[in-house]
Amino acid sequence: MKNITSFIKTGVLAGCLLLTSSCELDLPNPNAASDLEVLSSREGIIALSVGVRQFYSTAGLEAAYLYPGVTGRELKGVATFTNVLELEAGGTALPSFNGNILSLWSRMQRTMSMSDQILTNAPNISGISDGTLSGILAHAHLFKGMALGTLALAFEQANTETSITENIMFRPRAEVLEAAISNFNQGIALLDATPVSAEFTTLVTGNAFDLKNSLYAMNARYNLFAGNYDAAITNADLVNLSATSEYVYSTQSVNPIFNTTNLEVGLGYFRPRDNFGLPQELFEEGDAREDFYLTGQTDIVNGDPVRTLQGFFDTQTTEIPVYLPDEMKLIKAEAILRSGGSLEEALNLINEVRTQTTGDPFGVHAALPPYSGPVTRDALLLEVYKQRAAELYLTGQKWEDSRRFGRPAPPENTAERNRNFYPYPDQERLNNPNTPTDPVI
Amino acid sequence: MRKIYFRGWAWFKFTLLCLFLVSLLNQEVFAQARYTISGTVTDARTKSPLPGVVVRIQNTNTATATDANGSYSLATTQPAGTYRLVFSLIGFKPETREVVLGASENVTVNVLLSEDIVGLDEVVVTGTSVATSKKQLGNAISTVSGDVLENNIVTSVDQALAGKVAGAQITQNSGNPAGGISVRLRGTSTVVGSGDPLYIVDGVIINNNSPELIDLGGYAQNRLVDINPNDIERIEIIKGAAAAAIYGSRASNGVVQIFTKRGKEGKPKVTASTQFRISEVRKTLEYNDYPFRFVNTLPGDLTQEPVQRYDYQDEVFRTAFGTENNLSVSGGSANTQYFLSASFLRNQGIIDETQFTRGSARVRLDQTLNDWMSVSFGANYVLSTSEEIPNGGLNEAYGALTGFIFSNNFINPEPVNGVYPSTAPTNILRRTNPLEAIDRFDFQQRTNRFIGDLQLTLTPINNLNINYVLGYDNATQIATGFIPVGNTTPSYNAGYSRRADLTSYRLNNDLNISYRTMLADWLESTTGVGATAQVEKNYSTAINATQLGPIARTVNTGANIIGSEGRSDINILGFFAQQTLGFGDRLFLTGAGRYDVSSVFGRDNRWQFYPKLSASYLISNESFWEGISSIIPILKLRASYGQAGNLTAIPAYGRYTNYNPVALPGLPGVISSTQLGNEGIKPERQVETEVGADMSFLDGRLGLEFTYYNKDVEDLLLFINLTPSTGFVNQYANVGTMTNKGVELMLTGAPIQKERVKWTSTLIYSRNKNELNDIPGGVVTFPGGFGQVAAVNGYPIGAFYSTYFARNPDGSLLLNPNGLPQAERVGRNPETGQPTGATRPKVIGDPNPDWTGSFINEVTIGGNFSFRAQIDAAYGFDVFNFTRRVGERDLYGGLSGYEPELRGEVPKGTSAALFGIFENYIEDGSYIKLREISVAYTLTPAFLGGNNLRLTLAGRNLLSIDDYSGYDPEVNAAGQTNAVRGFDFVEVPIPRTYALGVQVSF
Repeated sequence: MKNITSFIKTGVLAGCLLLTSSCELDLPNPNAASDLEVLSSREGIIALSVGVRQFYSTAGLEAAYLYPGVTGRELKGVATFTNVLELEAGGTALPSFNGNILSLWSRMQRTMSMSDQILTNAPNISGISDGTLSGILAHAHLFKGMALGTLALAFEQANTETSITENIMFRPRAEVLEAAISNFNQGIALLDATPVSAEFTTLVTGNAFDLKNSLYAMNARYNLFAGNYDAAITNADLVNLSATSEYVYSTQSVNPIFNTTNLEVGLGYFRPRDNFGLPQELFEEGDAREDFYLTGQTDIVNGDPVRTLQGFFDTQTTEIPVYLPDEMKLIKAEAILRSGGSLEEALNLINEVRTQTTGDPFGVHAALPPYSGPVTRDALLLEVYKQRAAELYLTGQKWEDSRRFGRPAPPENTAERNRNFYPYPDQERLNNPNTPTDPVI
Repeated sequence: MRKIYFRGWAWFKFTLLCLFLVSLLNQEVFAQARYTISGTVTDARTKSPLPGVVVRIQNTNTATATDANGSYSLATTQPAGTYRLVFSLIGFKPETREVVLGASENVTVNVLLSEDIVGLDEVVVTGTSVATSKKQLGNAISTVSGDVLENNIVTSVDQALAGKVAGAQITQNSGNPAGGISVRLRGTSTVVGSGDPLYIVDGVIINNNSPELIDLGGYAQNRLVDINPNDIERIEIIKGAAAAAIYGSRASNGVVQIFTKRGKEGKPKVTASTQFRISEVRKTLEYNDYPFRFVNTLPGDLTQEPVQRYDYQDEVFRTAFGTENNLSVSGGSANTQYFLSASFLRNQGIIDETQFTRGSARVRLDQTLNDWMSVSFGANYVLSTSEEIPNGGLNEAYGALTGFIFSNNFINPEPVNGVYPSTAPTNILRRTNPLEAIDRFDFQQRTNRFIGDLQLTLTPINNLNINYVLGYDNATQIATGFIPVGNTTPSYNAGYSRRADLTSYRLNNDLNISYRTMLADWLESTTGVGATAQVEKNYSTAINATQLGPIARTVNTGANIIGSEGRSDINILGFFAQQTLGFGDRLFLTGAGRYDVSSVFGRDNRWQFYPKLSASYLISNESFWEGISSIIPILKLRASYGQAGNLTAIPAYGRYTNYNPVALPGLPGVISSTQLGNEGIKPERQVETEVGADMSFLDGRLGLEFTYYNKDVEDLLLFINLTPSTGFVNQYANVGTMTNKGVELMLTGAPIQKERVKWTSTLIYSRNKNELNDIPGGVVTFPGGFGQVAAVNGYPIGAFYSTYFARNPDGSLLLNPNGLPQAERVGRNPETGQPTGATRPKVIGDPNPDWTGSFINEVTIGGNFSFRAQIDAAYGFDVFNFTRRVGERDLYGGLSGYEPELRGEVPKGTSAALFGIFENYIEDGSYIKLREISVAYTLTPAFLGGNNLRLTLAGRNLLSIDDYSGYDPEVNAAGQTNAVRGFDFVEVPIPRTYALGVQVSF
């Protein structure tokens, strides 16, 4: 019997030894950091700051530039995927369960959520120097503001805060634009009080991304959309027109527009419409920007001529400007015209853009003759619209422009846009009773 | 007690039927005399001797087995008295004889055993703590003998099981030579997890994952393909939670326990077999052979031009050959038995250039150490490789058949000067030239696997069994894919190379202790307790390269290289106790409980408890039954209730909110995942009730097994959508519910049972109804089905949820102003009556069959001729024919279904209009298939010195009776995915296979 007992003892001991590896029940995840680790450490917050820009510059831009680009008729959806077909069809054929609308909505929400996490947690973390903290916060304000702005361009109403615990409230787009502007202003104020440290540039933005000029530029853009013309002009003037601010890409983090539109290496879901998708009367032959943005032969897809993208979208790693310097001139021209300012001043700004042949930091030159049409407010405004459509091709603004300039509207006319606003995504509505009624068109 | 051991008598014989070593225990104190009981056991029908019959003195450990001549000799030191001697062998009714040990030291008992058609006395071990005869169990358990896997043309165990188990729906998802197989026991019990049962091979919990390391269009091998079916002795299948409580959180899909062959005492036995196979495609699609085409797709322009049409399928399919060789050696002494086997299988696929090769070796060693202790050791090494051609195309569209269906067949696909022409009908879309996929692509998989076990069995005192199992399974699967630069694929014109690998490691430690005792004459108690500790680790890497240089195939040649890695670690501990009480060999009551704790469960739900209760009542053993026993010799009623969990649905780190690494050039960062963690995550819990009856009629020549079950899954895990305004998109949450209700029926009979002729028939019928409920928002769409498959409240899992025809009140199609059919939309224009707004989806089909059934007949004539045929049927299920949807569309139009438009029988544009109405592509998939047919003839030629030579001719999937227009209603392009079933998108059809085999044994 003793023998048996000793065998059992040995067995139990051996068993326990074998068991030790499986007794641990709180296993850390080796594949990714957890929220606790990221949001309470200096390294985590810095990494999340880089992450929010990486996310916005890839998934964010894909949604913010391409889908409104299809709706605003800059692009044509050529893939036979249902979501692309629906987006291309627009109008009432664009259902609230469309995957692209959901992507646009949710990616902006995620950008807001990550920015909010930074804004909430960064000030509580010790060991971040003042110049780095102000940079991190201003950077988060910029991306939250851009996410809010993008939502306001696509939806009649949207939220201004994200929440995991309760259903968010929807606010009219004017308030959403104001919230965006408020974020830009807070960012600018933070940087005015404490300029960014060298460490912030090294760890978060790198040299290609210019935080302060981007804040001014976005503030100018969204103040214009909100009808705050003075503020738009003020901020446009603050932008250093010789500076550049870019989103950069690598093979790990690829240019999303290239990836989605390129036929050879990328997915080839969308192709640029011929002549920037403009009706014949709005496109000027000889505009050098056509050859800047578009290349290749003209193919006919379902009766529409399409070409191939180049410009800022011709390789996986081509940089995309955060804003174009000439946008500031066009913002000012429009703000002057809309606020009853000098037609002459506006005309000069327009001609600066039209006749530019050298000097643009990104090489976007129109090389057109000076404006020769009637110098009236309406005529010049139409000229601003034309110039914006060409100069700011595929920057997510054409759809908004076509509404703001009162261009022909669907359902009667779908030449320049096939929806006024998107319906709210089903995924939001199904679980959030605050979701407003969908716009008819 | 040690002295006994030193007596050294080789009195212990290994009992071959169960996991527990039964050794003779001398009770020396009471020993007064030594007796030897001997005799022979003979088959009552054929009058031939029966080897391997276990002879045991009831309620003792004194046992032996008959030798090759059917004789046995059992020595015992039991005191004088009257004993009951039990003779048992699988497939035969056990016999009990009374023996009186008295004056004479030598007692002779000869016995005739009759075949057991019903199998109620079969001994099973799965789900019980100790080997138990089926009649004591309160739940249905199916057993399949390894014999039926012989003469069979199967590559894997699960494939062989198709049609042989009531309550099991076994589907071969792909006709590739190692095509993946799904096994669903009593319906599907999970949505996001694996629906396949837990597989245990000789005590080792094995990995049956279906990793899709390279995109082959949706098809993936499931790793059970590594197990050689020829090594299998017996399979036990528990279908319900009631029986599976003993396996806790891994058992809600049921448990399949596989026992491999073991050596038997005697001189070495060598068996060698070889098989030659021929496979061919059973049916090809009718292709478009109309010699004209439209010059454009504009609706009004009917201009046509002459074209030459090609059948690309001729170039894709081939007649495939295969060979399989098996060699096994077994034998042993009284204390040591061994079984060695080696096998090599090479099987070509019916898609040109595809092949599966598997080499495996197995060792099983059983050693009796002394009268109360024995060890067993098993090792299985497998190397399987496959050459693959992608087909299907749920994500990537670079496959061969994918290229065929996306081509308009008026382009000659043959290469010109080595350059393959694009077979895409327009220059807008690029599609793969199927010939190029076959000739130039190089996709391979390679799996290295070792499965080992070490088992220790102790019987320190009579009726106390202690069993420890250490199981180890390590598989490394490596997949490589290569598409050379300059090709016709949609997205990899610049070349594509991928290498991905997954190492899966499983370890299980199981300790089971059981004690059986008679508390009174009429009351038998069996007590079991056990504990298990299990570890599961997965390590994966994947490297993708695009923009390749010429010639070289590895990822190094790519200008753009992206790598990724994943690791996961899961630990599980479980503890159970089970008590069975047997009242007078008539009524058996079992109660059990199990606690599980796992690292994947949320902190607040760490400990999970699973109870079970079951009862079995052998009413035919009651004295009042005697009058009826001539009509119904056996009637057993059973009922059970139990719970089981499913942790496969929980991702290893599902409870965390993760921040995933991203990088801008020179700047590392993290972004929050789209998935919100769930700190309270817990396993799905299945509550099952089953009731049933087992009975036999006509003196045991007809048997009936019937079961009704109701399974409710609570806390069903769903990957739910969150409101995006949370900042997250989705989350794993225990929110849904699911039910499976069904019946299973098995009727077994022996119409002819003569000395020289035996004919047995088995009819199996299973019916299951699945329903999902409590789906947040009513609908959750699954990935992998092009968004056309969803969980919908009140409908079964996998329901096809998509657009349907707009119809007039009388049911006729509501045509659009151009006279074409159209999809229903959310509204109707009050003036024109035309649909307006967005298209409206609804449930348009259900891939789950109303019932499945099979009919198996076996005839043996004399000792040397046998015939077997199995017919399988599945009735009342839908298949989503995406193949037809694409092939009949004007843009592609390679199928004959497009011809009416070319001939002008329907308006031009009809196929394009139908393309968006998915209801048009739902078809009834009901089929009856001649699954297996085989004849075997055994010779005893002189040149083999009187040893046996068996010749076999067999066929598999020879015939299908169905109305399905596609290749095969059985396949599924989404592979082993749980939620997306019956989805036909140019998946490789299941081939028709013939085989000729020779087996020699001596």
